[in-house]
Amino acid sequence: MTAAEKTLIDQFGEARENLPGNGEAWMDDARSSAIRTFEKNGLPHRRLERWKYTDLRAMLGQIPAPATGTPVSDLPDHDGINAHTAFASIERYHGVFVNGYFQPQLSNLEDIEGVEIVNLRGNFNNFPDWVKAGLGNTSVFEGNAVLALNTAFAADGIALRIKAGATIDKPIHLDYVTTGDEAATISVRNLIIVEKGAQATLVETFTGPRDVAYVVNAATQITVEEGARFTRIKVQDEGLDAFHLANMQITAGENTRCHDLTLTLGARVSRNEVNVGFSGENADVTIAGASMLAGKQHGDTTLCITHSLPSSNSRQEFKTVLDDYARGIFQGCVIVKPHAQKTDGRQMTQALLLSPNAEMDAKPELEIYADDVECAHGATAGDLDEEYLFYLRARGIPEAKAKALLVAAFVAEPLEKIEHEGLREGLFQLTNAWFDRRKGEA
Amino acid sequence: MLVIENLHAEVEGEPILRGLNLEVGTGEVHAIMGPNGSGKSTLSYILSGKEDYDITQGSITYKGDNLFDMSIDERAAAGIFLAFQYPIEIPGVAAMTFLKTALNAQRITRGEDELTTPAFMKLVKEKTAALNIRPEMLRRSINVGFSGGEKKRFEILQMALLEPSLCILDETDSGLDIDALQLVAEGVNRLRSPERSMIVITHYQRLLNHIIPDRVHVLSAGKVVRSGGKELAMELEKNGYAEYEDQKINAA
Repeated sequence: MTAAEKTLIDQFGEARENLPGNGEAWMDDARSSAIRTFEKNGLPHRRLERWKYTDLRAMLGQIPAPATGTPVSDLPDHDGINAHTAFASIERYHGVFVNGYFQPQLSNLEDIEGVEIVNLRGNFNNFPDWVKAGLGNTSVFEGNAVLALNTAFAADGIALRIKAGATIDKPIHLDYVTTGDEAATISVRNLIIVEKGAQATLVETFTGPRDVAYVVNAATQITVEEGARFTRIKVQDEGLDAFHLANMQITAGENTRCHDLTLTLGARVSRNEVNVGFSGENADVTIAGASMLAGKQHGDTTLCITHSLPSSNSRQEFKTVLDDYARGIFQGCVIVKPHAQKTDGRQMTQALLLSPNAEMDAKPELEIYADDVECAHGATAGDLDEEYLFYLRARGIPEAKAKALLVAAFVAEPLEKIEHEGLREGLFQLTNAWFDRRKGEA
Repeated sequence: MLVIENLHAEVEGEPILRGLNLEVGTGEVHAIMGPNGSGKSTLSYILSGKEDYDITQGSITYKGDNLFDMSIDERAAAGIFLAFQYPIEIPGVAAMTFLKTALNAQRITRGEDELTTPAFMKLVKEKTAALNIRPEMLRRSINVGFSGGEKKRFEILQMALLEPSLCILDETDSGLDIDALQLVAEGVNRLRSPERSMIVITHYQRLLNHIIPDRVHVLSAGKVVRSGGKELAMELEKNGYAEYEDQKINAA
């Protein structure tokens, strides 16, 4: 066991009695089972195929103490364009977390019509069954040490139930802000159920200070029931010394449409893991993303879509821009089980390398056990097209500005598919500003 | 406006221009004609600053300044505009965003204020109407899904918006049917002014029925071998480039 692994186990021993739900048998069981799983496996390392390029055991030397929560009256100033400001002018339901703790006084999630909300720091005694079933489900972290740690340490989070048939009129924005000069480990756990025929859009943004090596471990479990439509947009814009470790699990029901888009801009090391399963046929799932990395950033996107039932579509569309010494990783797996006939699964990952020292590792994995399916994958990597650059400069656009335009254009495709205009514009604001922001911070 | 003296240029050691001389006065329209491979497009690229060419001899003076001291975008801001023979498609950059960025970038380089969005939109509306360009077209990515005629009209729209001092039209007639050609030529003619010079590069004479040049030059094997008035274009149409092809062989 490494020093970091031992620290984590010690930290859990000290933290557990103050964690929400302590003393509730079902929650105690879930946490104990999670820490045992972690003790058995330790931090993920490169000899595990899914962690081949992100050796967390080697990278995560120091484990900051779990964050402590106090209510705050104001958020720190956010200057310029970032994930916190990009959506500020949009009409939304806003839920603010500071250092992983929900801040009801800064939020307006109360009384959204058609939504039941449960705060994980509430009274565990009175939690409805759907929350208990979600949080108490220990099968989700099997073989996933990061999610096991999240279950063990989760100090706050929100459970949302979008009621059957409800259409939520505005996006629900969960805004995770990290503050302070002291590095801490932040563990948040969210649970979302979109019931039959409901429609909702969720936005999650992560921001934090520069020069602080904090760790965010965020997990979101999503169940989309029959006929529902769900969109989730995540913007990871953490401080450039942070670790961001995220897990999302989606279960898509019959005739559902699920669209997930992650924009990765921040963190020194990030791992965005998405696992998709199906509970019904004819579902349509898109998992998309754009990563823009510079300096020595390391950004890992790992996806697994498991088609266990027939007749669903899945799409994976990823764009990665890398400058300086940045490293991008895309591991995309599509599994089609023997009975999942008529599956249509497509995967595309494209990288733009702006520097000879940048590195992209793309690893498509298709495991197909059914014979009547359509599956395709593609991966490209290249540098900026000189002809494009010349055309723009020949119209008087200076080189740096022309490059910024082309870089933003490269990642535009997955963003253009976001239907909500304000959210789409906010995303474009972030990708358009990337070139200048990173130069300013270098 | 423009003085080119004894210009020699090569690509990967292969000479393309071999002692080209050309002088274009303010407000003049010059046509450059010549057989394929005579160096017409190379000249247009060198004027706009494309970096694929080695200049081995000679000079280009633009408005009294050494053109070789200016970067691609500085040349554009100083008023040089090349309408491309094959305008490229740039997915993801909206045509409207591109126009606004280009116009404001040039204004900033020249020390002028940026145009506000309403002022810019008004200007675009005015210019697109004259060129029969649908505003929806500008919401698309640059040249993506544009027809051949639309691409050429979009080049002329950029020219109309940016109001350059020296317009270089590289085979703007290629791939256009007669209606499209007329529309493009009208757009160009509207831009003719005593302050604006033009270099019209073309293989065929037909464009010059619509854009009447002050001078016509024949380019062959990398230099100007004959100059004359607009009647020279008619002569070339009748006799072809055969006699100049011979000179090329002799030169080589």
